[in-house]
Amino acid sequence: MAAQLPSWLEALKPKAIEPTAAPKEEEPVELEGILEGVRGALPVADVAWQPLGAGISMRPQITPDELARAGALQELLARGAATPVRREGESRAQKLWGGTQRLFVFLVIAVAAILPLFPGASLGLVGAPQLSEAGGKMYENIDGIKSGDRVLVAFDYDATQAPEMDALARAVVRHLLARKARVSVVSLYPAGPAAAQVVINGLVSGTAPITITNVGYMPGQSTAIPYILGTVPFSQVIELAAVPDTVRWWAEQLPRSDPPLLWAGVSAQAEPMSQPYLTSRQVGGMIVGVPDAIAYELKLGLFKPGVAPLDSIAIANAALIVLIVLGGVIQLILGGAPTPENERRRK
Amino acid sequence: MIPGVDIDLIGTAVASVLTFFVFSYLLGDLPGLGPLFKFFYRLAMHILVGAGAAYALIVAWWSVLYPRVFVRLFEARLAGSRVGMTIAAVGAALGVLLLFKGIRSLAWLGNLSTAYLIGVGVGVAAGGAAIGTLHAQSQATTTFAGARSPLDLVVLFIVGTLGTLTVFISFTFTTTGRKGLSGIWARIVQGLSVLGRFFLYVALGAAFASVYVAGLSVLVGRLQAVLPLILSALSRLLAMGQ
Repeated sequence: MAAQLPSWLEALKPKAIEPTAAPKEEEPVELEGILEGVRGALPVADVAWQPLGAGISMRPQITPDELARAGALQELLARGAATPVRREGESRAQKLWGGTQRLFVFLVIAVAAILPLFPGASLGLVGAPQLSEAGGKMYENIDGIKSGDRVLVAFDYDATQAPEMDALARAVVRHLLARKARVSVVSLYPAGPAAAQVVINGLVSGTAPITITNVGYMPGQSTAIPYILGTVPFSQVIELAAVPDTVRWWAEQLPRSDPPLLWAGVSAQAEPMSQPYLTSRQVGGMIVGVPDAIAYELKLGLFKPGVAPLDSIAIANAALIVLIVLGGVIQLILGGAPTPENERRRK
Repeated sequence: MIPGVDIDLIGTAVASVLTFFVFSYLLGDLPGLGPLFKFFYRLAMHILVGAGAAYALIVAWWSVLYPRVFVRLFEARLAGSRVGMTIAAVGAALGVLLLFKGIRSLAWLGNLSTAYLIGVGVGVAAGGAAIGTLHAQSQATTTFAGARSPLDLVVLFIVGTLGTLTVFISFTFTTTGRKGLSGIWARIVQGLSVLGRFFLYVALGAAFASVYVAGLSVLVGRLQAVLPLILSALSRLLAMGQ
């Protein structure tokens, strides 16, 4: 049974083509299908050069039903792009409401984070942190480094992540210097060497022999790693990563060995995506975020200012949990903020 | 070095002011002073972008162009090494050709450099991904790496497999109102989709928590740097008032 063409497609069917020359007798006439009654449709060579649209009705018959369906499709396609941002329709009061909410959240988090940092405000909410198992492996690995061993440290972060990453970097580099390792510093980020230099300047005293070489920025992202491995001597690599991409690049480019060549210090943000490489033993050990950095320095016996940052983080975390629960309850009771979208739904 | 001027103190003060400029974004919706706070925020952002671009340019010159092109070219010329000169010259030529990408009529000249960059990039990344991630992670999955007890093994196997499959299924769309076997299948898929979405919520929640903790660590780090300066300034002001 032949398929039925929709009416709009039927309307596009070539009508009797007005030939520019008399039809040749040998050209067959189509007897069935959508080309029925058309002579010389095959071969196309004779008509291919004709102006576009010649002989084709440009006014297809479109029924109201088809128009309605097309309208519905258009509306569906447009809806996705229109829904996320509705700032334009907000009144002054609604904007103020949104701003007040953000300010309230900011003030709660700020107060929670600042309070434990005041001098003398030793809340002692968080005890001395313990290194995780992966962190312990990292500590033992660095502790086993012999004097003069060459270690490559990759500072793959910039100033925007420095407050968190510097804590990790300080802990690791301090330990490496204590073991008298010969450290080469590289970075896959243009701003990485500067971040590294800040950490190095803070650690290397004027009298201690400098065993750190800041090789600098290596352009090319993952393609730079084979070049680095071929030119900078190393017995192991310590990757300091603020985002998981750089951990992946190093894990992919370094050959697998036992014990592993790659060790890492990562930010809390990079941890979930870096964890699989630790599980697969491509990364030998890993310290994560400020808590591990403090635990590492405590183990080194070098941490002095106390654990105020951990109190600060803990209280701010608790404050955020309270805010999330409170927001959820308010949302449940009141049905959301007075945004135009919610007003429309209520009506 | 200017005698009598503590550069570190000035640096800390400027950093503190810029930190507050960035935080002023949160006050941007306030009536009255809101536009002023937004201006401060934008000013800090412009300084960050401008300083970042300038710094990147300097790093590109001192870390890449000067030592790897000009110095190598000069050294190769001094040593009479044709191979060295050719390598450096080809690299420099490819770099210059890349500049034509900014001129629409001559952009085709940069195609060779782009092709080289993409070719090398894809070659290194694809090889690394296949061996370093796909093979290594598949191997770790099949050997249940990370499982230290039978319970770990069960959790890894059941929860891991179920989570992966149901998340895939959650992206399947079925129509409601079917009857017979087709309807039963549609209901099963919908049920599994709900479970998959639950796994997605957990994963996204964990990702959000990680980003929040990282952000909080950065905030606490900045506060630790800024707070002593503020307290010192306040104590001086109080001393002057007395």
